[in-house]
Amino acid sequence: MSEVRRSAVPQHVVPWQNGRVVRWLLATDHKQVGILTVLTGIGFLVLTTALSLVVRAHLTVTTGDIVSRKVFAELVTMNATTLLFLVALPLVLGLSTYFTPLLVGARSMALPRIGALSYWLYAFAGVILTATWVSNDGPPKATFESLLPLAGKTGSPAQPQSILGLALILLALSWLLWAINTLATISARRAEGMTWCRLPLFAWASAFAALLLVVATPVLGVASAFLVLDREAGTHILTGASGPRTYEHLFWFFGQPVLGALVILAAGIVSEVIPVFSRRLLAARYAVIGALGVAAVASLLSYGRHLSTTSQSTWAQVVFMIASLVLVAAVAVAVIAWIATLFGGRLRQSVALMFSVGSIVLLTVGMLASVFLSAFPLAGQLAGTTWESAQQGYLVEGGVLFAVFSGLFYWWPKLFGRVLDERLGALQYVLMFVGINTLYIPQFMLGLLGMPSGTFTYANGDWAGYERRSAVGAAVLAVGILVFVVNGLRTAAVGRRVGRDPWSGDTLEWYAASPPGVENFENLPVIESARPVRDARRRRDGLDV
Amino acid sequence: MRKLITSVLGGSSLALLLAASALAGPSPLEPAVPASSNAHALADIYWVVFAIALALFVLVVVGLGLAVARGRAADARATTDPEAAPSRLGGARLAALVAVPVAALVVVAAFVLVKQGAARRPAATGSSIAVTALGTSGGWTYTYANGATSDDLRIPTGAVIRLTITAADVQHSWWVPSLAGQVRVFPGEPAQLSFRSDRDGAYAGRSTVAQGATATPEIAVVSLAQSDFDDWVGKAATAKGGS
Repeated sequence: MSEVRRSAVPQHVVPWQNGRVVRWLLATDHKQVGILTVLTGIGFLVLTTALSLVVRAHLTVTTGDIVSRKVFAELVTMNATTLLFLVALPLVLGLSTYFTPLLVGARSMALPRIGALSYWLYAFAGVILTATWVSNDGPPKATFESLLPLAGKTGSPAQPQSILGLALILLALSWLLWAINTLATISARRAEGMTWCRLPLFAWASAFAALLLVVATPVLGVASAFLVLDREAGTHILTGASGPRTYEHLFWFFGQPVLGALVILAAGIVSEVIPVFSRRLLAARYAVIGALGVAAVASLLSYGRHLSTTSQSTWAQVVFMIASLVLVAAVAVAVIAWIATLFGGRLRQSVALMFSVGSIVLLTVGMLASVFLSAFPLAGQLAGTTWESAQQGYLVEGGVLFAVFSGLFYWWPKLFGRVLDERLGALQYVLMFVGINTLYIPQFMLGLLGMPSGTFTYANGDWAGYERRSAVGAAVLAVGILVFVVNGLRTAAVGRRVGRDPWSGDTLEWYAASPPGVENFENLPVIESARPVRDARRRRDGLDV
Repeated sequence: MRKLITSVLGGSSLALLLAASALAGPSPLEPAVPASSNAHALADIYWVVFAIALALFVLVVVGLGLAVARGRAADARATTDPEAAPSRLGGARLAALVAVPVAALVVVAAFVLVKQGAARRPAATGSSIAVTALGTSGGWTYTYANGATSDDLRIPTGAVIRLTITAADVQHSWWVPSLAGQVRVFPGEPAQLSFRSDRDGAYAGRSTVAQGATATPEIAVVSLAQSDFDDWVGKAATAKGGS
């Protein structure tokens, strides 16, 4: 017997719920929720790209004539906030929401309504945060970390700062719900035969990311609640002498694990794409799973790296440095496994693979750059400068976003039944790869020359040359993102329709229809390895499994 | 499609070279010129980390390049089985490969531990002076032991400067790259910084902590010969007392 039939669960849908819009508004199906999350994330990506272009244009002249200091502070704060909280994390979580149940052979998420609530909390937080642009006071301007006391009532009396705090509470709740739902799905909804050892890498990555977020997001929620209470209810939780320091510890106890979760989920996507297009099992698969687990723990323990320029004991600094270096070593294990997989593979070239390879290069730069900041005395020369911005840019906009685009090109046929145009994809890849390097290499140099990130004006005329190159890079990157939007719209209209398994995939999502039906699978192959669909295909073709 | 991919990869390489042209500029990858023992130690750490990071990056890029080239060639060969042979990476081979970055990171950690003391404080020999730095959104104010005050920090070359840094309103960081790594302070929580300037001259710095819609205050340090400093600080105290 090579297939396992699944019994259908009766659906109870009243007619009005079948309306085109209502169907999406009331969606609890993980696939619809996942698509909503990804599309919302792409929407915010377009927004933050536009913000970034204004910031870059402003910095091309030394005198800061393009926007006012107030608007510039708003742009910088909102750009970072949007990129991290409304784009990068939601995009990877959206892909995970869609694909984790499919990868483990589940009919749905364990808690479908919780999944929908998680999305709507995110969407609402994004809307209220973005709506601050049209408020009288403008959006928050006390940095994405809400640095205290600047973000307190005295430093930032305007209401939008409280709205940022409220949005972070909603986002923390959203991610906590996602994490609980994901862990419940992976642990309780796996198909028969899908043991932990056979779990696909992206499902493992989702589990590790979920564990991180279960630990970290309540801390963000509590810290943000304290901030809002201090501002709006007159409490004095964070206003004492140690309040600002306490808040920053709490913020980074969340922030660093989020960066870790992003890297882990990006690694999970790359670990799905590379084996399929190399036509072989991921090399050192168990070592990669172990490395992702180690990366999760290390990203929790290394949070204090972001406070290394404040007063900390040498022992604390050493612990945070070692944890940060362990995180780099864990990613190195994955990089070695990816290269080894490609090295002996039979490469079938595609845009998904190109973005994965690009992601490895950019992730490597981001992780190696983090070594400089982990070497704690050196953080005194680099933290808070454009050098650190470049490091985070390579990590998030480079390693993570390239992995997301790799995942989107790989899974688009499953999401929408059509394959994205590969020529436009190749163009997008080139533009983005050129753009991100042209944008951030000069920022590394400016940081070394002493330019703090968020600088409004500068006296040194030499810096303008670097800023102009960065502005060109940002523009090229923006065009690359625009090409993706065009590609998505074009594919929706005239994209080539494909069957259930256009890439000869390994994992269970490729056994479902494209796009999958309400309950994902009509039947499942017998699962006897980490590559059940590949096994079924080889059995069908009379080849050795 | 193959032609397209080849041209894309070629184009990417060319584009990366163009992006690397951004390297052309003044002191593109060097840290600030050190003018203190702290900054010398920081520069040493920087160059060791830089060398190791560059070596690891080159290994990854060369490995990726070889892997992609080999994988493409393998795909061009006709075989009855479309799959590639399973990887033999595991056990000793994996350990040997992983040992390379791990050893490199251990070297980084060890070097940092050896140098961290020198990077954060000078040897406690010779004369020293104590100064208090108060950061406000309007700028920095320095107060010397004899009560003199100034907006720029004036220090005697060769003496150990013991700076007590405080913030009045919001967070500030005191950072002059040529002299010492930055120290970030929260209001109500002073922090200490020691350094010793190697040579006379003017050094510029800036707080790296964003101030919202307010300008980040500039930092200026003037290192003088001991006798010039003594003259200046004496006159400054007298002028303050008289005013």
